Amino acid sequence: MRSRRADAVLAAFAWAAALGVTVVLALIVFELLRHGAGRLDWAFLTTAPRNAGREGGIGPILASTGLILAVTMAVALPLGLATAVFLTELTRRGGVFGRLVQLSLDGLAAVPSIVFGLFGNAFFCKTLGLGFSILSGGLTLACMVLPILIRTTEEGLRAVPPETRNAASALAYSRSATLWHLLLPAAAPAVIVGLVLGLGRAIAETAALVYTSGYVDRMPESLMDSGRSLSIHIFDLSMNVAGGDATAYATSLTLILVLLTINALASVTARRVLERRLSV
Amino acid sequence: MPRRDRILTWALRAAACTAAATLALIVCFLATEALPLVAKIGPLRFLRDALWSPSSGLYQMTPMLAGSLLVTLGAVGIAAPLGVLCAVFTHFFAPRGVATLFRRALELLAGIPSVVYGFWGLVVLVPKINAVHPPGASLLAGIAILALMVLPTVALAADASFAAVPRELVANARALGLGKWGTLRLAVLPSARSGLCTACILQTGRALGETMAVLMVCGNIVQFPQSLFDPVRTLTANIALEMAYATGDHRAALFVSGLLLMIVVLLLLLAAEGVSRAQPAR
Amino acid sequence: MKCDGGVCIVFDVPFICVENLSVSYASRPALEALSLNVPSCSITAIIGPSGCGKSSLLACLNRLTDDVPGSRVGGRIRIGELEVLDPKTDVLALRRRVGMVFQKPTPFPLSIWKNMALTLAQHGIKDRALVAETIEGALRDVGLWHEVKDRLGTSALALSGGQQQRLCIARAIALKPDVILLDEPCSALDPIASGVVEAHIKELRRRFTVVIVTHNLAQARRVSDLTALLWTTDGVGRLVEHGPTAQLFSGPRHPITSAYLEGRHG
Repeated sequence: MRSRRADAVLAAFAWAAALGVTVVLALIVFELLRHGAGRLDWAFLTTAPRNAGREGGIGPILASTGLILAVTMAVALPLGLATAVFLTELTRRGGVFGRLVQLSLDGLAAVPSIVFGLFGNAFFCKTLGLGFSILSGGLTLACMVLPILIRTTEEGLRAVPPETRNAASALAYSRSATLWHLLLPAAAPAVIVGLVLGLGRAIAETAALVYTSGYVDRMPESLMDSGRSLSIHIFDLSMNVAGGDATAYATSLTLILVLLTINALASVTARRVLERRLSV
Repeated sequence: MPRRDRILTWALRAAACTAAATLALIVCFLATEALPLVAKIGPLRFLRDALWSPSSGLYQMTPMLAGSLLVTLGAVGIAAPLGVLCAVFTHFFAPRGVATLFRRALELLAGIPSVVYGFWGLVVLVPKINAVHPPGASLLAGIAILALMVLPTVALAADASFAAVPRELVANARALGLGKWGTLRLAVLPSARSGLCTACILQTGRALGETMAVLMVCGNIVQFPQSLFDPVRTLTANIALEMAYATGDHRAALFVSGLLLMIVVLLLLLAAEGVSRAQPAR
Repeated sequence: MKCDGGVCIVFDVPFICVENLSVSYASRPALEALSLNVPSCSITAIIGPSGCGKSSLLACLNRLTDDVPGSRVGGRIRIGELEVLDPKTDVLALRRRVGMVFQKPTPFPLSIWKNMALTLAQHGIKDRALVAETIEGALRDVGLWHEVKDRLGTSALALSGGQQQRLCIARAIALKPDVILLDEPCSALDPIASGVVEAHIKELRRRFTVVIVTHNLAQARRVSDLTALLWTTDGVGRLVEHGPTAQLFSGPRHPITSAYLEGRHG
């Protein structure tokens, strides 16, 4: 029968595609583990790189990465939360201003990362005079993760039933109390998801950082110092340093482990928040 | 309204304005850096100059534009059908547990940073291609790595739009005695079409803007590639490579290419919005 | 003046005074030329078919219409001495005096205690002893105290539907309002829970002026002192008839009223 044969062909293709993807993933992970796991130990994570990164560890690079992410989130989180609240609570759906904000956020989400790099270099480094610094890099990334944070928080807030708002209104809750005690706690899991997606995007970013936070692999002493992120370290080792592959493998592995840890922590926290809401 | 509420309202409004102004600010800065050069030499020089040699005042961008487009189209061309097949797999063929596991794997793949893909391509893929046809760092390598990067996202988006297909529609297709292929062809694909198209367009934008992975595996020679094994340089890679030392008009030329990228990506975004709006909401 | 079961109702001194009220949403009229007086410490039932503007009327009484974009309210409403629709009126103070309970129970996703205490704190009541006393009193008033006193710290969402609705009533009366608005408070509950809630509503009349919107004619007849029937004519809600419940149900004056009341048999 014709349809039987079509089904069989489809099955073959689907299984092949899935198998192919799985094999490639396994290959990548296997390769990283095989070459990287050997180097990965406590000393590697804490000591400074030597001989352009061929030897030594990635201590200062981890510190710089952490600082860049901290700047990013310190700026993007409040701004993102406030914007999401504004979009869900203070504008009508389909209102002109709200639509305008939405549209520009969609645009922002689509901007290529190298363009963020150009912008960050021109605006934060040159115009604002921050130079190649952790601050410049963090601020550039903040622009980048802003739409992600806003989108997810918005979804969380929209999921709060309108009855809650009505009831709060009828009990004469002030807007700030409604927001603080009722809406934000309800949206907390969504905010956490947004935070993780944002962190994931920020920590994976390379192109936007090369010309904003710079290349320097020393331990940063202030936010105005240039600092090298994990991703830039991988890039530099593999492209510019002959014999840097071994460290690049180990650094890649570290980067992925950090990402996985953030993800795991976030899903545990989100579940905690949900559970507490049901039991307390 | 109590004072605290008024302050809050204004603070929220200010935040929203700031967030909305970011895109405008980016466009403004690109434009202020780029437009003086465009005004000075005219837009056509970027297409008509004989070669890309900013030090001697020549700004031909077409080979890099071609490189960007070829890599992007090749990658999406491979990733889109494969991604849909992956979604077909999770929805029609995989046992429940396997499907969940497979989704997790896709999420993991989607989360791997592009620089790691680039690195993997550089140390694993490029030598393999080199063995077949030197130099290895080539259009083909770029397409392969980029396809791999885009694939999981396309697959997850396709999976989501398959999940959004109304159950009754699938049940009805089953009731008509359609097999899996028939159900897919007549019920699932048509109603998931706009979601799939939107995902593909958005991923095209992402592939076009990708810098690091492409920079690491494409060889970065400014030329029109004659075959899949020729090295190419994309617009994004060009910016990343030359920003380090570019000054004056050269720097402005890089901002022109950034602006160009930005415009193309925003147009793609508009196209995606058009597609998802054309389909009436269910 | 009329005495009903020991509760004295002063019919001629209106507490809530609605004059020539009109409501429209995005320039589509919903209510027009509605005038209604509600005496103090009584229960007034608002009945009528869906979409006749019953809920709009309630929403005007505590200015919840302010939250609906594109809504316009005209006319005059007085509650005691308070000009409700005057833009200068402090809405939050008004809503403290006019409590409201909705169709769907709306406990906040917090503990039972926090549901009450947070609401009190919003109105500046933070003294621990007073808060505890007020919460216990309000929960006793709705018969919930004995059911929940040992688990005040647990989520309000874990309560049954009827308990949730009584918590919402308690939350509203803890603020010691003058007026309580009930928007179909029993229609989302099963008959038994509904009966319990109804019994407590009847008790409320001793201390509050109650306005209840209901679809359930039998319920209106059972709990209310006065009944007002709203009806949609030409797409706009209007007041058809208004009077003491017993009188309205036994001898309706308006043909629409008798038809509507008979409709419950068919």
